[in-house]
Amino acid sequence: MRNEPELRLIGLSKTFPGRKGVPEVRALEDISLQLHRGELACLVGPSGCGKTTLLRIAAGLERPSEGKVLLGEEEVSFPGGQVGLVFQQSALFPWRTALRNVSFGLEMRRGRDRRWAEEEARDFLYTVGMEGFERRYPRELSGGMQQRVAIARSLAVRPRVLLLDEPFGSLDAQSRNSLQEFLVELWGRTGLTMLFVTHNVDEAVFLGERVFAMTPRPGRLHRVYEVGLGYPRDRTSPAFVEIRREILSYLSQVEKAPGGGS
Amino acid sequence: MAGKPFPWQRDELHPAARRALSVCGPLAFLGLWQLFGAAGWLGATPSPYAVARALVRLVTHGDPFLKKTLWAHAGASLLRILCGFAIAAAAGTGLGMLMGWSRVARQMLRPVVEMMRPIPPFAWIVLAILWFRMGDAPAVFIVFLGAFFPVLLNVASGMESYDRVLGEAAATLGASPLQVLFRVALPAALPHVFTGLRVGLGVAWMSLIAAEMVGVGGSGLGLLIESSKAVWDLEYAVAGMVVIGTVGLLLDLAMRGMEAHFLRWR
Ligand SMILES: Nc1ncnc2c1ncn2[C@@H]1O[C@H](COP(=O)(O)OP(=O)(O)OP(=O)(O)O)[C@@H](O)[C@H]1O
Ligand SMILES: [Mg+2]
Repeated sequence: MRNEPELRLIGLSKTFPGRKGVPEVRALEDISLQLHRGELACLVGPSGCGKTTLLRIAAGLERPSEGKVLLGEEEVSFPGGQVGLVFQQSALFPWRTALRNVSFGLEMRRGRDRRWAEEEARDFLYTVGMEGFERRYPRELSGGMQQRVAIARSLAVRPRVLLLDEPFGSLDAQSRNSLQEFLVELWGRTGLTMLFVTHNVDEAVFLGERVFAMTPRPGRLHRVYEVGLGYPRDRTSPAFVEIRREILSYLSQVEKAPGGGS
Repeated sequence: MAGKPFPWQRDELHPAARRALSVCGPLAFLGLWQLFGAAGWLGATPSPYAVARALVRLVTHGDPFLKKTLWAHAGASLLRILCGFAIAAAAGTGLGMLMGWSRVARQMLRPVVEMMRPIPPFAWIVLAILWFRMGDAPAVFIVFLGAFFPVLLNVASGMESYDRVLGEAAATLGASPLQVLFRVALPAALPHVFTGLRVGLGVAWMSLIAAEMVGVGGSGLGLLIESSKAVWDLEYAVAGMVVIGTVGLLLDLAMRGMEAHFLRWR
């Protein structure tokens, strides 16, 4: 069961066309990777290597130039409720309260009324520890709370895979750590398949069962690290420090040689 | 003000002080008006007292020319502004959404709209009478023209400038393109929509009064002023102006109230 592939990216390449005075950009180059059902994997890479582009393609928001995305056996070519995406800046709807942000996807379903959607959404808001904040508008929430609501909003439509694009990137170290612990705990409870993008290696090693490392532009898959540590992880354990050091040294090496592939 | 050197840092005025001040201003204005009139500096301009008397007579006896009461005139104007504005709000929002959403529609409609927008609604009066003849219809049409373009252009710019990430987030949650349009782009553009509605309501009100002054509709606050001039009863004309200003203010306040309610998330 566990090793069945849930999401498969097959030979993905992406070229953004240029225009007058702006050359075209080769963002991704022949990327293939698989997420197993129920796996929590992380993707790290230097800035601009195409991590966001990869997630957008996997979520169906962008078409690849070559290759395809398979969810189970079906190809993903449009966005829908199947592949969830949490954006770096929460992208909550500012005119909706926390509860109604979470109920949004449920309200969009044919024949579903608002009352039902809100009842359902309440559970998900509690799941992310936001009881008591149902009626707050996004501007009344802290950055960390906004990301919790954004995660609940994605979970509420019960996606098969959840993609997260540096969701904690703009938070301070304190809330970042507590949200990382929360995510591990949430994953343990739900067994959801997740791909977590970050450029923070510490975060990647803390969260991921596997860590995919990408090369600088054009982004290729450099290597897959098997973390092989149990949860919850201890950031000071020798094994943690060692694998973190290994990935860091790879990244600092490629950051120093811009444009170099693998 | 100690310790707060800059005007923008100062505390809000006490509510009681605020209320008192906003009563004092108009009272001072009325006092000066009465005083200057008594000193003979304002020529034949009626005094506030004469205007107040005219207002009472308008309510009890109607205007001196058509013998219609203030309520009849104000009611006629209100009916026209509400009908014309409702149509303009619906049409302007609909077409504005289309222009903001579809590049093809935008390219086709923009030149037409940009050309028609600078034409003052009042300049349509001849066509309005030709097309709609008598009664309220030509006046409603003038109101429509006054409100339509501000609503249309503001809605279109709101739809063009809304944050696309919100639409993408909605799509990943299973929203269809139409749902993104109505449940995401439209609410996101709501601040622009309200700007358009408020500007449009103001323009429409002024245009309506002008149209009524040339006799369109055969009643209304504009005609009240105009007919008072005909019999040289200036206090009735000024009384009509006071009512126009008051109703315009109330309309704007109602609009602001709706805006505050619908944009409370900001
Ligand atoms: N819509 C677009 N049009 C043109 N080029 C784009 C577009 N989106 C991304 N790119 C380019 O593709 C490359 C990869 O961008 P992407 O946002 O995927 O990087 P990233 O790995 O997410 O970076 P970061 O870690 O800074 O978020 C960049 O060079 C970027 O300039
Ligand atoms: Mg990115």
